[in-house]
Amino acid sequence: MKKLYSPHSRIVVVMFPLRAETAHDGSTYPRLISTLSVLDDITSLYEVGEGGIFMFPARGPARYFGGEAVMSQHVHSTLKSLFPDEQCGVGIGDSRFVARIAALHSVDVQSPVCISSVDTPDLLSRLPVTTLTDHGFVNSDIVSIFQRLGLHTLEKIVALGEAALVDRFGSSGRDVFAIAIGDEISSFSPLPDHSSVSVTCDFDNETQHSLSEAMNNSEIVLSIMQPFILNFTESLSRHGVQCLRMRILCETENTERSERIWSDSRGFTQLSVRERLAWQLNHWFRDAENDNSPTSWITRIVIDAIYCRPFTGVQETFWGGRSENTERMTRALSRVATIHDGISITVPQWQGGRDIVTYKNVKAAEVDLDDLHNESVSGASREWNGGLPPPRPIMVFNHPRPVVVCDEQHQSIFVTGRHELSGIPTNVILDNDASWEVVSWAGPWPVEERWWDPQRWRRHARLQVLVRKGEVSTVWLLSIESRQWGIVGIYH
Amino acid sequence: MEFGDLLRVVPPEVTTANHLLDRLQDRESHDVLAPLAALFPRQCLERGAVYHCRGQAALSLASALVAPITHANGWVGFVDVDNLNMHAMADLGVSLRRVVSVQSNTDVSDAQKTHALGVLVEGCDVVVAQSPKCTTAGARSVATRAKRHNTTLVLLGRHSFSVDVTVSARITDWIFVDRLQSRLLNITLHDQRTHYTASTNVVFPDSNGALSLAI
Repeated sequence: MKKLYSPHSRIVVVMFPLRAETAHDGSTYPRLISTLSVLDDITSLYEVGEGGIFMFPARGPARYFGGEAVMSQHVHSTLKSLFPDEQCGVGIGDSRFVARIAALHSVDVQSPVCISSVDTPDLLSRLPVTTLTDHGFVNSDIVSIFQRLGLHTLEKIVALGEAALVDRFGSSGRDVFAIAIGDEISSFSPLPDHSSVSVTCDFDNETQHSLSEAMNNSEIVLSIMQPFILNFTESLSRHGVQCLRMRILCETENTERSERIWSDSRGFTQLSVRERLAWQLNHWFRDAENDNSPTSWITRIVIDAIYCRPFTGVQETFWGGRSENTERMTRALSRVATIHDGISITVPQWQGGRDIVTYKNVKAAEVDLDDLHNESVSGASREWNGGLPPPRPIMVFNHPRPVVVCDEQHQSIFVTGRHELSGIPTNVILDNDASWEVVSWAGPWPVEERWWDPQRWRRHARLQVLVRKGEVSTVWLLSIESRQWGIVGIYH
Repeated sequence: MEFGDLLRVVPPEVTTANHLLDRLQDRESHDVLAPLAALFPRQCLERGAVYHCRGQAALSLASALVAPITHANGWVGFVDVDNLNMHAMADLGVSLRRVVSVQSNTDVSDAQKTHALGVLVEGCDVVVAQSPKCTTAGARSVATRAKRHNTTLVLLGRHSFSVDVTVSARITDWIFVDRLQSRLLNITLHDQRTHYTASTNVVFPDSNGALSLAI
């Protein structure tokens, strides 16, 4: 196998769990900031990717720490000491792709993994083609074609030759070949490529100078940068490209610099550029512990597109681009997101199931608000066989409020194995003292979910009760699980 | 409205003065569901106005009020409305692809919540806020921003806003045959500015699953 050996292109990948599913507890952003602070002590320039992937060139830090193995061990142990309960991975390889594979393996073995240049060809030749999609961001349709052709390993892909791949898949074929031989699609360089788009905002003029004191407030800087960000994304659009990697450089009057490379495999949008800039500024301004915080106000911000590709993924809407109010909404949401990390902004997404919660909350930053009409994004509501019949409760509780359901003799009742109530419900006792009289009831409705999966199997029963206390009457949806009743929904 | 603003809002297809007036009126109001239209003095929700939904069925009422707006591609932001069942909202006619939910955890101060609410009213067409903990000055500031950006503010629970219109929803009867089938609601509107009051009875859901006038 041909191998492009370059001692300068060794890459370190740090894999840390900052995925969307961990974002709901509000701990993602502080973790991101802590991880960035660790990396700040190791390298002057690194790239922040999606889902908790950080990359930087190995050469400089490895020389400083006395070798790749020592440096990777230092990164790994520092992160483990910061987050002892979390799993992280540190991998070093000849390319981002190889380093990602190494980092993934590192998460499993709980120690850093360095893949030497000598071992790289052997490793690559054995990897399945599906890794191209998972870690090389190659279109899954291309990988599907490989699989149907019986090309199941990267060795067989390389055997086809670059020319054949380019003939069949164009520029994507060239990328596939480069990844498969351990080469980079784009070099790890902060310098923009020749066709890049760049915007520079110089705050150091008369108008902005009057704002000097306020220029260390990230929200004010962001609001001033908004038209420049818009200009940046519009320039990308005019060039017919989408930006996958960009560099953001902030400079102060005292020539202090904060430089980051950010990547997004889906291409940066106006919202995501603004979000990355907000992260970078917030981290920089709050970095007092390391004495890296700026000592004067920001005078210049540069946003460079480092790696772009032809914009083929998303079409403009049929009637001509984004609607005005969605633009307005997007701008407002990006501003709300910068106010506090504890504010979560979500949109509903259909998930189905027999559970009472049929919609999950998805972070608004992860979806294109314009594209929510697309059912693959927002999901289409459907009646689920065995689900709760309409009308549905307007309020539902993930954590049921415990109650006791009693019969005439004040004995608590339950649901038998034959899905029958052990008595006639007459009272529901809430908070151990407030007793509500049961006027009518319906059920029990047994619900058995995922009976085929012993880990996720769940069995419970629901009871709809019309209850009255004095002049007030209401309808509750009760659920019993492990002989404990709880209110899971309220009809209003 | 300034003359410059007027010129900006005139769409190219407007040809007559009456046509222009119709279009401008559209910009100042939101449609409401037909059974509720007679309740409102102008048969619509006013942009920039502050509504307070109260009573046992306040949340259902608020959802029913914003439903037509989402179908007209308007954005609705729900702020700190806990335990909201999106499926029930869809049953009430809300198009969920135009709904954004903003939730604050306990680390967020009241001032930051007010700030977030103020920013959100600049982006949404309607904001539904549950018990916003704003100071009187903060509430006035948010209401002013809502008016300036033509955003309707719907409040639930306790608040310190100066309300334009109060709408109360009381459940008068539950129709429970085998299981819950429907409920009858008495809805009362009171306009604080003109002391206009109106009331109506509706049933939800009716045989078609929609909200309709009670016979």
